[in-house]
Amino acid sequence: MKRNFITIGIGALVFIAFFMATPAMIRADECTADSIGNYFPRTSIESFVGIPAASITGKGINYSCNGGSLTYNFRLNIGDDGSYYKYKIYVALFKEGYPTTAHNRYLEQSDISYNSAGVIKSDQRTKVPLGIGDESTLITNPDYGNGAANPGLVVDYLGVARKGNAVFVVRASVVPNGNGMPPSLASKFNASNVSQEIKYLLSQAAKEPDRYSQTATPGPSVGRGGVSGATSCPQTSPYFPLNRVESIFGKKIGVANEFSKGSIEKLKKIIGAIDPNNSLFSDEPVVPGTLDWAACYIYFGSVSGQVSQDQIITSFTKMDSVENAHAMIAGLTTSQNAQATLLGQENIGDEGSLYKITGNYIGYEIIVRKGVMTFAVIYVNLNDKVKAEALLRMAAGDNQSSPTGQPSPSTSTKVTDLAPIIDSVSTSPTSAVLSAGKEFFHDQIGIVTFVDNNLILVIKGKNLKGATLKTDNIGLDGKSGIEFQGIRVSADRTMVAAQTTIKPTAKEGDTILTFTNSAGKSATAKIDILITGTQYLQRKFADNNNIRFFGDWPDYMPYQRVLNLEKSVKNGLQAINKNTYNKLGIMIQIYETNSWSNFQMAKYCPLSFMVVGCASPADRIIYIGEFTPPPGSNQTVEATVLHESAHKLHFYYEGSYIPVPSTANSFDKEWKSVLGNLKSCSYLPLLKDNSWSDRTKRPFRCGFDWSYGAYRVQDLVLPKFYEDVATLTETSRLNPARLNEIKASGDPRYIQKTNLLDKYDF
Amino acid sequence: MIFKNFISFYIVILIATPLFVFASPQDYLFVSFDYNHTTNVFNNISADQRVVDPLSVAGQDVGDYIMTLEDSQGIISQAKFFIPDPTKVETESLGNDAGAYGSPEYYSTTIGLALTRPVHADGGTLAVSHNGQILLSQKLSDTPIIILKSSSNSIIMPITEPIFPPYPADVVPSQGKILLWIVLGIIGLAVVSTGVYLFIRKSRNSQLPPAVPPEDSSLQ
Repeated sequence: MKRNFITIGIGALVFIAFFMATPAMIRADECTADSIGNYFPRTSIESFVGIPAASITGKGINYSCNGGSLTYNFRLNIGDDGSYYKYKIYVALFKEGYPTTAHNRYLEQSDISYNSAGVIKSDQRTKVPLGIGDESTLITNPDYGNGAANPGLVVDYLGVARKGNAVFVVRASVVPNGNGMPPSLASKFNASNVSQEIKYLLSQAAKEPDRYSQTATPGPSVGRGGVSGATSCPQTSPYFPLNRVESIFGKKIGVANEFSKGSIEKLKKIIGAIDPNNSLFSDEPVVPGTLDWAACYIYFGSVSGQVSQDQIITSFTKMDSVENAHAMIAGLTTSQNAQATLLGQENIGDEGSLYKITGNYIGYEIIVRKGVMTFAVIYVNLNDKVKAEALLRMAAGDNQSSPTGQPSPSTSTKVTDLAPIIDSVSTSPTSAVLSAGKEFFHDQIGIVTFVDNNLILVIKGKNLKGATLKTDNIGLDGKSGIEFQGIRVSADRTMVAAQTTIKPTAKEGDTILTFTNSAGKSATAKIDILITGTQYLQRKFADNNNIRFFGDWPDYMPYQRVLNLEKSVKNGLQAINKNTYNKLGIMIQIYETNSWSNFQMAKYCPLSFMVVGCASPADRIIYIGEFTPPPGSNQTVEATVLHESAHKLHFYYEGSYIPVPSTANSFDKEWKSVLGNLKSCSYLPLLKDNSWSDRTKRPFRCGFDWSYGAYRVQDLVLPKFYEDVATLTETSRLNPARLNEIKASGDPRYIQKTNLLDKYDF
Repeated sequence: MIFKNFISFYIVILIATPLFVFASPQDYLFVSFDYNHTTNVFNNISADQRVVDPLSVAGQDVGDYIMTLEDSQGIISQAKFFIPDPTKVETESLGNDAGAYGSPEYYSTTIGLALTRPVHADGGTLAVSHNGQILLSQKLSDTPIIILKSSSNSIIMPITEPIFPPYPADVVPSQGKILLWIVLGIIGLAVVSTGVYLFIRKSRNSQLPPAVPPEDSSLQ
């Protein structure tokens, strides 16, 4: 069997396993406290808005399971009188059979009237989208009307999010019985903090990609519908001992399943006997020289509940020569199921590489070579890179091809006994993310600001006494991006926990963490500082003070949607990077889809239909909504940037552009003379929806690029050519194929118009 | 370029240097806001700090509205801007497959304010005036600010006491250890207290005046 089956060909089996496991995933009989804890970790709830546990004088936690919904109910009583202040955090998870029924559940949970027990005072509450999962919302004071019965009910927040078949609910409220909140609570339980926490909890709960989505690409699945039911990996364990995996990852293994050369060949025989024409393995690429291989699928945590995405894959391959082993390291083969992209080199064993895997299985793979052996670890979570490297250092050790013994990391790192050895770096709570700040979305303004991300960094290893920590992370403000304080070492010196602050200005990407012990010896580890899509866009365009992004792209990078937007905006900027446009001082404001459609579009663009952008001669601004064009439309962000900019330039040429005063030139006159007499155009006048008289829109006719180009050209009082100029500018600059097509149509106006666009440098 | 002599070279340098100086990037606070044409109110104010070329901002400093950034030491920066009259112009709204014209309710823009010295968010104020009338005055600390880049002059955000999650159990001293420290502390406190008490008592014995006045006291 070929080695790349470990990472790629296995996708086919994964599909089988997934569909076997799917019924178990969506059944409601796994309604256990443990399963909801996977989504809303108790530590996260208890640290809600940073209220110290010490100030909680009483707390009650209960679970209930009803018809598939599962609630996790915290009631924390704070104050001198334990029953006086009722501070309640309620989280719930609804598992539905289909996205449609989940959508109905989402509507039910986010319906204000459903949640209100009393008189509704709609003016006291707001409802804003959160940009989490498939749909989400945050409602402020959903039960405010109940204030008649509880006049002291001053703050109450409800967040609901749906991802695929799952609906997540977080609600937080304080009932101080009319006497006001104690200062210790009031300073923390405010609108800003609570909204941020609810958003954080929901995004964490819905974070794991498409866990419930029936249309999603499945990852490996285990649990009750697991692949083999095996709980050990006999062939890979000599290289990757399971107890060592648990130690490095700091988590218990739920299930470990092994595939190997032998087991797959058996499976092929079985499938072949049932269906000789089965093409299950037909796309399996061939890696020459593979003598033996095995891969261990390791799933952490309980497997009695939901199918876990918290997993890694360890594997080894024995090749017939160093050359063939080297060939594997140098380039992972790809198939239709998965694609591998080389990200960099790894200094482990004789050589090593880091790949990003996309396709049916999404994650990262580090593969290293030692002699004719290759060892690989695949992991999903970016933060697990250091741990994967620790496992591989151990596997590669100094053993050549024989899986005998497990060399300790201290042997492989070749340091003295006094030098610190870092096996792993993680966070506490484990749900904490190594991100540059924690975000807070100011929904009314449509911007995101960031506060310090305070967490506990946990380092496991050896010789960790007397720790000092530092990083090479210099932030955007030129100051240290990461700060440490309160460093504690465990009694056995194998673990260090440090209070860590990651500043919102911290540099994203690889950061070297240097640990120095009391002997003055140092060791380093790499950590990856994440930024959200919003931060990415802000940082990418920070040098251009004429472009701003509004709304929230909360997912951590790399995030394809944001990369697409970045590319589209750059293309748009490139298209207007000319002296004619530059002198206009155009400012571009890009709005995230939800923010645009729910708030901003109606504020800045004057009409109610779904617009993608707008511009006025009165100011420098171009308002543009993030927009994915439907099939058949070319109205991308870059096209909209150019279209609206062409309007500004046209305004300038006719002397109506207020920000930069000008005198009208002859452009409009020349354009009008090219248009000629439009009475002969049988497709005019346009219909009410701006389509040609035959109800089509896109065909080019009568010298216009498409029907909207003829908008207002036949106005009796004051004909305008704005749209004719803007639509043809788009095509001439961004769509050369269509330009050639319309030029070749025989209508001389197209050539004359494009010549005019060139002459006036649109 | 070849210079005939050093003097002409220096002349070129002297002429060119001010241009280079002015063109060097510097800290700016860009303030974005909405203006409601119906209510004439400024709201949704936010700001971002960047380091940009002043030439890219200079041309925008026109209009009869003035935005001012100041603190207790005085004015840090000012910039002019204008509010367009929505009744006199139309905004084109481009749809996916159509478009139309009309008047929007809001106007949104961004004003660049040069940061000539560091500003504490706690003490800084943003103000908008028009014909000598103050239309808006808002503390910087009440304004959402994003720092995208800074060099020498920055907005100094207020320092807040960080709140960290609890340490993992393995590095938190055990209850037995805590009790031991408490017991040792109590014993130590008792020893110190006894010592202090004995010292004071000894001092009082040697220095305190007699409780009863002397026989020849004038009080009699």
